[in-house]
Amino acid sequence: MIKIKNLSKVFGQGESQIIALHQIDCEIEEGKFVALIGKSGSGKSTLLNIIGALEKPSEGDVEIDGVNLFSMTSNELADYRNKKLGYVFQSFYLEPEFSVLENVAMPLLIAGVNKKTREDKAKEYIEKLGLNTKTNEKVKNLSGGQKQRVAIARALVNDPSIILADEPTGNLDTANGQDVIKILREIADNKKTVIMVTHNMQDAKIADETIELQDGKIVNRNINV
Amino acid sequence: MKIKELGYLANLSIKSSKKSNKIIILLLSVSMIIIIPVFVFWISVNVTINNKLNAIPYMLFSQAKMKDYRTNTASDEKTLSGSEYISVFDNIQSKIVYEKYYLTNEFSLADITFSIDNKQYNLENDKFRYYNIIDIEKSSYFFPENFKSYGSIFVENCGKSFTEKGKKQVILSEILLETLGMTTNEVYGKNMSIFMSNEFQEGYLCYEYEVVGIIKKELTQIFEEDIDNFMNAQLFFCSSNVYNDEGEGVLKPIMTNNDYEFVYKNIDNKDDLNKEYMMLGLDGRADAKDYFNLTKIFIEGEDYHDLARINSYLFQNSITPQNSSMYENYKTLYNASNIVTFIFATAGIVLILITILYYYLNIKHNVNKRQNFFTIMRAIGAHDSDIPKIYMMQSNILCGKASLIFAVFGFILCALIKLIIENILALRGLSGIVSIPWASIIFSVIGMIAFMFAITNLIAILCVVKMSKQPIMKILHKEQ
Repeated sequence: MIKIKNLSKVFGQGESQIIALHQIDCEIEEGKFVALIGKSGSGKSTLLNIIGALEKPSEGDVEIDGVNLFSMTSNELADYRNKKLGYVFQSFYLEPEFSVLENVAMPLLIAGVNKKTREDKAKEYIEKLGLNTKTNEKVKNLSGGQKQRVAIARALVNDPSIILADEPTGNLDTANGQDVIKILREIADNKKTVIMVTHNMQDAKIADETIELQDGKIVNRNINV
Repeated sequence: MKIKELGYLANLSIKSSKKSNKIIILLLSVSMIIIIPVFVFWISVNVTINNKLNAIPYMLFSQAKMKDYRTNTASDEKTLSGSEYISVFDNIQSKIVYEKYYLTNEFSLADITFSIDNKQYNLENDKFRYYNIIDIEKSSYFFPENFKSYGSIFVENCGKSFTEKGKKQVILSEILLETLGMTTNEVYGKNMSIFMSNEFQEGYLCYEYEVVGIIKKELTQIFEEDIDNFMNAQLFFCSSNVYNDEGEGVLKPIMTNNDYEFVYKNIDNKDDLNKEYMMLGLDGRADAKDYFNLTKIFIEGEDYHDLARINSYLFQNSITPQNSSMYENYKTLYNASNIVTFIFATAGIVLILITILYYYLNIKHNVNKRQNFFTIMRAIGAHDSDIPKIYMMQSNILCGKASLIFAVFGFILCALIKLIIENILALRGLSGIVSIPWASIIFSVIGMIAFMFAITNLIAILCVVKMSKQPIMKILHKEQ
């Protein structure tokens, strides 16, 4: 369970201050697929980043399974991110000179898993994502859709309980985008919490819920049928 | 992350920039190889030879021409050793004659020649010191007119074992001469027969000495010792008019045991003897080293410091030594070493600077290029400190590879230098003067490696630490 309490985020100071989030209160149940929607600048990515402990709020707390994220030290937070959270970004953020295997295994490497185990596990997810023919291929040689799959595999390899996806289909064509959304849906179906930021309403429909933000506030929350 | 993981990532990073990393390894190893001879030369050759060359002025100083006491002008005929010659120019004509031998022994640059007024003088060739024990019948006696009025005359035997050197030389004091009723002109440079007896016994010769030095009264009377008794120490003052061991400045004679035996036989009151004389306790003649040490104490006494300084300056301005072949060899070797050191040092420093600059730019470019990757690594769980550690590990791997190359070739180069230098020195008869210990090579190699590790790690940290502290999303937003 993710609990967000009185969350605010302000960028800048004085006259140039931007209130990205304004006193957000919200709960996200475990195992749900939630889509954060809204126009550009509504605060949805900021909210996602704060949930993912990639940014600190100006006010308020985020609790995940009873753990207050921002009471932890920097290193504790890093360990938490490694074990509990998985990220999928719009720009993939893979190391182009590394192979698919090396990229996917990265969270396991950071976690200190030995080489054989992490390669085996990475290969398992590479296969699940349909990339087994590309295991040793350098990422820079892959297509956009393939790269995003690698990113998803990387996000899953440590078996996190929460997957955070920020515009995962933003740089993909429709077909690839649809594939990625289906993968996220399957992940959610496997009892993982998936929170996806998207401005694509079609993509949002596949989620269990949509939370609409506007000017840093939650203006709507719908359960998709 | 643990070292294993850091090493793995560092290796992956190195593989991704193979070409530039190969250049780094090459630059690191070559720059270290080029600069290591500087340390070898500097430590072993320059410093050693510089010390030797610095000793030469002292030795030259110690071989300043002695003023001809008889003519009271500078003379070519005699040489005076001792660094303090000029300092006591007016006071002692031949004070530290024997010091020369110790200088000669201590500094192997014996065959120094120098010239005054276009004449060449070489200490080793100076024959005037070679006097053997003279046969009684061939000896020339020298007795003052009023010699008989004094009972026994005891003269210190000052200097190295005459038997060994075949020298019979003595330095007397003016006080003694006055006591004997002699003038310095009569005695100086002459042979003097000294014998001991209660009575004058003509023909009975103990030793014959060449009087090579007179210590002036002013020196011997520094402490204004008031001596009345014929048997008192004043008579026995000669060049041993120096501080005694206690440094009290009390003029006391120094005697060897042999001398004591002679004296003792002729003195009724043994207790008086013990009061008056400081016994060195030597079995033979006074070892000149003792004399030298005593003289040194004397010279280094407070009263003479100023004199020493002044006259050192005078000496250097008044005498232009010509260099012996040995000196020339030293100088050549020193100059050659300086040139080689300069060439290697210049090339090495330039190369090291290029290496450091290339490495810095390479790391900076790498950090900028992979900023997002490392930021994502932080996002997926890497600690902030892991990123600099990866780059430090990368630096250590690159440095380690370069160090291996350097250690092998650097050591070989230093060993070659050692062999060449030592062989050249041997050919020129200078072996043993300079040595390049293996330890200095090994420590120089290790030191250079440590330096490179330190520099490359420092560069890595400087390039990456700022990035690793920045908020994750700030970097990712910049990219987006």
